[in-house]
Amino acid sequence: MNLTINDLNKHFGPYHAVKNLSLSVNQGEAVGLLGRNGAGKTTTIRMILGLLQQESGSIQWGGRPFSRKEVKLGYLPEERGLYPKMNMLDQLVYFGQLEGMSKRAAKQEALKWIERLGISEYLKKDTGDLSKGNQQKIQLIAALMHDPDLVILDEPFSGLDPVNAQMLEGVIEDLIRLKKTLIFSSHRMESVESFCDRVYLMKHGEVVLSGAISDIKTRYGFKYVNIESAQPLEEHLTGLQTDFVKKGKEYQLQVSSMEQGLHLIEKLKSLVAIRKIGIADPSLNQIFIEKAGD
Amino acid sequence: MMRNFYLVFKQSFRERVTSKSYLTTTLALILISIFAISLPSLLENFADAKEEVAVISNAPEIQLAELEGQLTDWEWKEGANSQVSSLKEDAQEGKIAGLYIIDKGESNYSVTYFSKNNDVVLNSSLSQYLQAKNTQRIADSNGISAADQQALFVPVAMEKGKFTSENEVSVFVIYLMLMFILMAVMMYGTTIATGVASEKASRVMEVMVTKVNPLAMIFGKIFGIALASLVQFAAFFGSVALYLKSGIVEPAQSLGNFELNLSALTAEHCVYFFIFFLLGYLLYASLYAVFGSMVSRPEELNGTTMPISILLMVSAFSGILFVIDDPTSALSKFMAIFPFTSPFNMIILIMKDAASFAEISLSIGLLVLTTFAFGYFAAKVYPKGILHFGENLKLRQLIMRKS
Ligand SMILES: Nc1ncnc2c1ncn2[C@@H]1O[C@H](COP(=O)(O)OP(=O)(O)OP(=O)(O)O)[C@@H](O)[C@H]1O
Ligand SMILES: [Mg+2]
Repeated sequence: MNLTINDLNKHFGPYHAVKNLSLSVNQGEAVGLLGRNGAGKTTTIRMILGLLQQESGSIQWGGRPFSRKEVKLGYLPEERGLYPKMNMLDQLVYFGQLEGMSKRAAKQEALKWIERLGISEYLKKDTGDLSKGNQQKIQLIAALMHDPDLVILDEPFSGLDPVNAQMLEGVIEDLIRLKKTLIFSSHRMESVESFCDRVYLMKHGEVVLSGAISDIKTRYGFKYVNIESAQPLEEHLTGLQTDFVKKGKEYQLQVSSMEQGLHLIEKLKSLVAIRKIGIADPSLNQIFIEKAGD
Repeated sequence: MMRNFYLVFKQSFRERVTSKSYLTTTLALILISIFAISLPSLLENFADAKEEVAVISNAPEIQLAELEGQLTDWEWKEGANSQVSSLKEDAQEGKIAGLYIIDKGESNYSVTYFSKNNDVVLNSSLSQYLQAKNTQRIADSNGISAADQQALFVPVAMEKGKFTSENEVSVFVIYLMLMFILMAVMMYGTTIATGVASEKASRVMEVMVTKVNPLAMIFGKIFGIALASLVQFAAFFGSVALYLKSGIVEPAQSLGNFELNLSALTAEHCVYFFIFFLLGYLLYASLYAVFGSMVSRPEELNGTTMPISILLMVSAFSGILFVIDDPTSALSKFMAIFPFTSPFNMIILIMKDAASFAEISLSIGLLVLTTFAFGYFAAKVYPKGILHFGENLKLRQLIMRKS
């Protein structure tokens, strides 16, 4: 089933934290909610869950008003927390049972996930004594072990090392394959690019950019020309009146179209000896910085 | 809903009874009360180390064996006239309580004694004993009948009267009950508030509220901790009762100047006490839960729960100060029926036989209703408090906030 949100609004005092926000997530799709710190991602997620009350707007699940009680839900909050004095397994079994699983099923499922995420060695340790990343894995298990239909992850990548981040990507790809409805917030653009179908980029509570990633890139209207040369290029580039950034040995030029890019390359080739050259779509990261920055 | 209530209930109970503080308080409670019960007997045992008294009797009818039989608080030791100087030395150095030389005079015995501490009780006991011996000697020589002789020595009967009648629970026991409720409600209420506050501080609450209905959450927690407290009291009363039953010590009939008169306590009294204790606890526990959700860290609870503490104290002390003296007045009746004050004051009325069954039922009914109303209220407002981090909430804000 899909999640549809229409025209959501929320103030905190005078501050308009979420402005006329609309978004939709289809079944079997992962949607990324992007934006800088304070953009309103967590507030949006909390409204979806009914933890915060929206002032206006609607949230629907499969065409009917969303109710937490009627949806099998998996939620990884941004503010992570566990019972610090309970051991990992007991805690997961408790969470599983609260979601309606039998004790046996909960234990079985918990052990399966613990194995998969590589934290079996801490099975009987109090969760308060575990590292932050490992605590986060437990929370991820708590969000997923009862096989929810709607999965909401608030910054699931924060605090994970590259190996674990990759493991999480694998988990999310599986969820997509299992036709779950998935929404998550993130700052990690590489991950978002690799498995997200669509993204919503928020700024000051508003969606400023949304759609399929490839569409966004074409629609965005910029391409980058990357040049590497044996000589310094600053002078020539200033002469050509193009904006550029120097990244290590490489110069990166922003152009508005393929034609302009090719034209520029021709010109430069006639001026200096070029070692490497190419035209590329902007990365999501670049678009993010461009669009979400001030 | 019921299932999750049960799960939270079980979890709260388990968490509580396995906590270190719970185990130590239980143990401390048991040990302290056993010590307190044993104290009178212990003190007696200490006093039992009998002092040695040397006696030199120059009157043949004053025998050591008889002295030992009559004046049992001292260790009697017979001395010979040749030992007088060394025994005097012993008495001077305090090695023995004294040296007593008994001579037979014309009309009565005479005693010369050497004692450093001058034991008044010993002196008067010995003097009374010798007086009696003298009386007997005179009676013997005058041929007074055996019955009359006996009558000579019958002491005047003196009995201490009791202030409370036999079948009324003593004021002191009522005090104890009120104090017990007060302490228990405060102790376990604080546990609940701390539990809620630390769930909030550890942020586990945000995921819990998506899994569990707040009503199940609140009541599961309150009842779980209630059961833990009952287990604690059962362990406490059980071990104290066992200890008393074992006969190692005599149970005290009075504490200081207070008569306990426990026999006046009926099973009915105990049942009512239990009911009001439990309901009072539940009502205050839901209040504590609300207040626990208002702070951001458990350390800040003390200041925040002050209003509850004041309410509790006022309820308990109004009982001690005036309800207990005038249980039939209209104000006392009101205090015994109004929830919040009723757990304390209805107990007084019941123990003083000043409440009708209808009044007791009304009081219980109101207490149950208010408890559920407040539990419901707590369940409604506390998810809002839970998601509010940063500065502490005021109660008014909590109620007004749309979340
Ligand atoms: N409970 C609250 N009371 C007052 N203001 C709040 C509250 N929660 C959020 N805000 C404000 O709303 C804005 C959006 O916050 P939100 O947490 O949604 O941002 P975010 O996009 O999740 O940021 P981040 O990437 O840092 O997690 C922020 O300016 C924040 O200060
Ligand atoms: Mg956030």
